[in-house]
Amino acid sequence: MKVKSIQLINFLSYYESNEFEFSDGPTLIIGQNNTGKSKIFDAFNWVLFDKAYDNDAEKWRTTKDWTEGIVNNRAKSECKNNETVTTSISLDIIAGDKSKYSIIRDYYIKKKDDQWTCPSSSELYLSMTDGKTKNHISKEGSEAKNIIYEIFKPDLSKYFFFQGESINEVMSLNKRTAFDKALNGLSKIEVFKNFKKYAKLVEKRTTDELEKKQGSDTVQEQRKIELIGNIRDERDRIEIIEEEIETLNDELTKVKTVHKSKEEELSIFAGVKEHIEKLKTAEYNITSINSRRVSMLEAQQENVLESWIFAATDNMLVNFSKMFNKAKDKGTYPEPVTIQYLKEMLEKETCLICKRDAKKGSDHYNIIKKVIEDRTSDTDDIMDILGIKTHVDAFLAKKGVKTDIRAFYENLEEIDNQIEQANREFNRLNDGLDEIIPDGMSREEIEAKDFEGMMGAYIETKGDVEKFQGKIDTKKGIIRAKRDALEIHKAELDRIIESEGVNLEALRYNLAKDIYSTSEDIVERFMENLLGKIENSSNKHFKKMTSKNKAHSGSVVIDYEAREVYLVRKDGERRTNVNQGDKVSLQISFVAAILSVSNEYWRDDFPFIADAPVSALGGANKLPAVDAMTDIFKQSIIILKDDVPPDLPEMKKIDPIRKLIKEKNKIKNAYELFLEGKDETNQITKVVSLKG
Amino acid sequence: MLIKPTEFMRIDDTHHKTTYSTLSTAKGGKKEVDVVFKDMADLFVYGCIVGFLEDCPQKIEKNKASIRWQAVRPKHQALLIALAVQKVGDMEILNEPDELRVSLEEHSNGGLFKIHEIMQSQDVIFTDVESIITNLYGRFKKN
Repeated sequence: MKVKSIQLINFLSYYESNEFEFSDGPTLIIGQNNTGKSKIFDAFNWVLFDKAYDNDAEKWRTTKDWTEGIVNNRAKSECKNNETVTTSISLDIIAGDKSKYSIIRDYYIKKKDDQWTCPSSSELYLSMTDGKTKNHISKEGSEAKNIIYEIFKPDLSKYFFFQGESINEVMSLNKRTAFDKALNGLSKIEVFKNFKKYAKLVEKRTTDELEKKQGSDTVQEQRKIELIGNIRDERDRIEIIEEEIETLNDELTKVKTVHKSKEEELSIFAGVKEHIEKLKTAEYNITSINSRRVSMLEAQQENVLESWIFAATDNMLVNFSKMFNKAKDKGTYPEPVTIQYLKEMLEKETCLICKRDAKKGSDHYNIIKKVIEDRTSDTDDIMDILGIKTHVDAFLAKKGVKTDIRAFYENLEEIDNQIEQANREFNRLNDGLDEIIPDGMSREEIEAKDFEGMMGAYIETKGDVEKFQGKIDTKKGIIRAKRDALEIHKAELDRIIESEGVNLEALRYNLAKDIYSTSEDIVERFMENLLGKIENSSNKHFKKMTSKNKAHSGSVVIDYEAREVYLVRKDGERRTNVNQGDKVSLQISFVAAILSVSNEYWRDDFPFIADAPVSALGGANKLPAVDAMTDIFKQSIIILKDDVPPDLPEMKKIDPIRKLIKEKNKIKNAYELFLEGKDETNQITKVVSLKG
Repeated sequence: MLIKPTEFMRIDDTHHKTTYSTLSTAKGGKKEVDVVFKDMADLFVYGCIVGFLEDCPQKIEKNKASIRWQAVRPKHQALLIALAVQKVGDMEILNEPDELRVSLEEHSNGGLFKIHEIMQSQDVIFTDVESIITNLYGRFKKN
C-alpha cells in the first residue's frame, strides 16, 4: 500500500487547502514547535479513524468532542452569519493489488447569530477503483469505515502510525497490549487459538463421559474418578495460576516502566548532580578566596592607610625632621621649654635659649625664676610640639614598612590569581553544564531536585520489580509442579483405562487428549515461528540502523516469556549500558519488524507514518537514525522537529537534516512548515516544499 | 593639642554630598562594611595628604562644619602638622595654630576635589582602602 497524497482543508492550523504529495520511499516534514507538524499526523488519524489528539486535554478526541474546535480559526473568523465552513481531509492511496482508494472525511459547521451549529459527527466517503477489473465502487458512513478498517488494520495502527512519545506502549509485550493485538491481528494465530480452545472443550466432554462410564472393579472405578477429578483440578488450577501470572506480568511491566524512568532520571541527574557539585565547589572556592581577600584587607585596613601615608609622605616627613633638628640646633625654634629645662638654667645660672649669663639675683635669673613660679605644669603646646616630633620619628622608624607593604601586595596578587583561576574553572564548568542539563530544565530546577529521594525511589522501585519477578517465578514453579503431578495422574488414569479394555468412551477420551495436546504444540510452534521472524527482522533493521556507528553493537532479543525486548552482547549476555541512540534504534527496529512481518502476512506494505520518532535523540545520534529510517521502510512519512534555532536561519545551510534531504535521491518529497500570523488565535500553517 | 579639639573642622558642603557620602559612613546611612573609611576624619586625613602630594590647597567656599578636630587621631594630626610645617618651610607656623588649621583644611579640601574628580572620570566603585589607594593614588605601590 502506498499513500499518494493527503489534502487538508481548514483542519486545525491548516487554513484553506494544503496538499502533501508522497512518493515511494521516504518523505520528510520538518518544522519548529507549534507549526502544525503533529497536526499532519492528526489528519491521517482523523480521516481514517475520526480522531485527533487534543494537546490541552492530553487525549485523543473524536469529532463529537472536538465539534467546532477541529475547524481552522481563521476560516471561522472569516465566516459570515448563515454561512458554512467546511473542514475536509482527503487521502489517496494505492493498495498492493493496484486498487485505488480515495477517502474523504468532511465536517460542516454553520454560523448563526454568531454561534456555531455543529453536527455531532463528520461525514465519511470512500471510492475505490479495483486494480484488476477497474470496477468502481463508492461507499459512505459505516460501509466506508468497514473497508478502511480492512485496509488500515486498527490493531496495527499503533505501529504504522508511530509516535515517539508512545513508544513504551508499543514496546510492551504483555497481553492485552498493542503488541498482543498486533500479533493477533497480523497472523492466523487466532485460528489456532480457537482450535486449541475447541480441542480442550472436546477433551473435557470425553473426560466427563469417561467419568460416567462405570467399570466392574469398584475400587478401580473409585480411583479413576478420583484421578479425573485431580486432573481437572490441576488443570483448572494451572489455568488460574497462568491468569495470575498474566496479571502479575501486567503489574511487573508497570513497575518496570516506573523503575526504568527512575533509573533514567537518576542516571541523567547523577551526572548533572556530580557536575553541579563541582560547580558548587568552584563557586565556594571563589567566595572563599574572595572572603579571604576581604578579611586580609579588613585586617590591614588601618595598616594599609597608614602604610600609604608613610610611603606617600616619607620624603616630606624627612624634610620636617631635618627642619626641626636644624631649628633646634640654631635655637631659632626652642627646644620645648619644660619646667625641668628652666630649673637646669637656674642651676647653671645661664639662659640656655639666648646663651646669656643669668647670675643668681640678676634680672635674667629672676625672670627665669618667675616663669617657673608662674607655670604650674608644662603646657599642652610644649607637649604637642614634642608629640609631633615623636610621631614623625615613630613613622620614620618604621624601616620595614615598605617590605611589609610589598609582602602584603604580593599576597594580594597571589589571591587575585587564585580568584582568576577559580573564575576560569567556574566558567568552564558552567558552560559544560548547559551541555549535560536536560532540555527545558534550568539549573535551579535541577538543584531543587531531591537526589536522595530519587535514589530512594530507584531502590524502592527496584524492590518492586524484584518482588513481582519473585512472585512470577514462584507461580511458574507451582505450575511446573502441577504439570508434573498432572502427568503422573494422567499416566495412572491411562493405565486404568487400558486395563478396562477397549470401550468407546476410552477411545474418544484418548483421541480428544491427543488432539488437545497437538493443538497446544501447534500454537506454541506458531508463536515461536512468528516471534522468531519478528526477532530476525528486528535484528536486520537494527544492524542497518547502527551500521554507521561502530559504538553500537549487539543483537535484539524478543523474550516473550519475560515480556521484554532487549539487546544482548556477542557472548549472549544482556547489555546493561544501552545508550539513548541504541535504545531508539532498538525501538524503531522493533516497530519496523512488526510492520515487515505484517506486510508478509497481509501481502501488502504498510506505510510508516511517524511523528517525532527520534524525539529522544539529539546531536550525532539523530541523523544516522533518520537516515536509516528512510532506508528500512518501503514508504515512510517522517515528521521531525527542526533543530535550527528560529532566530538563526543562516544555520539552515549547515543543518544535517536539510543536507540529507538535499543529497539523498531517495527522498523525493520534503516539506517545511511555518507559522504565519501574529495573533496566536489566528495563526496558520504554511507549507513549503523543500524538493523540486 | 595645637589645634583646639573642640574646634569644628571646616569642610566644603560639596564634599558632604559627594566624596564623603560615597566613601565614608557620614551620609546615606551606609553600613560600616560597605565603605572605605570608617569615619569622616580618616577621609579628611586622606584628602589632606593628597592635597599636600598634589600641592593643591583650595579655599572652602561653602563651609559646612559637622565634625570637631578631636575626631582626628593624634598621630594623624601630628603627621599633617609636620606636612604643613615642611610645606611652609618655617617652624614658626607652629605658633599660629589657626593658620595651621586653615592650611590643613584647605589642603584636605583641594585633595578631596582631586579624589572626586578621579572617581568621576574612572567611574569605579571603591569598597576598601586598598582599592581606593590603588585606583586613585597607587603611589606607594610604585615606590
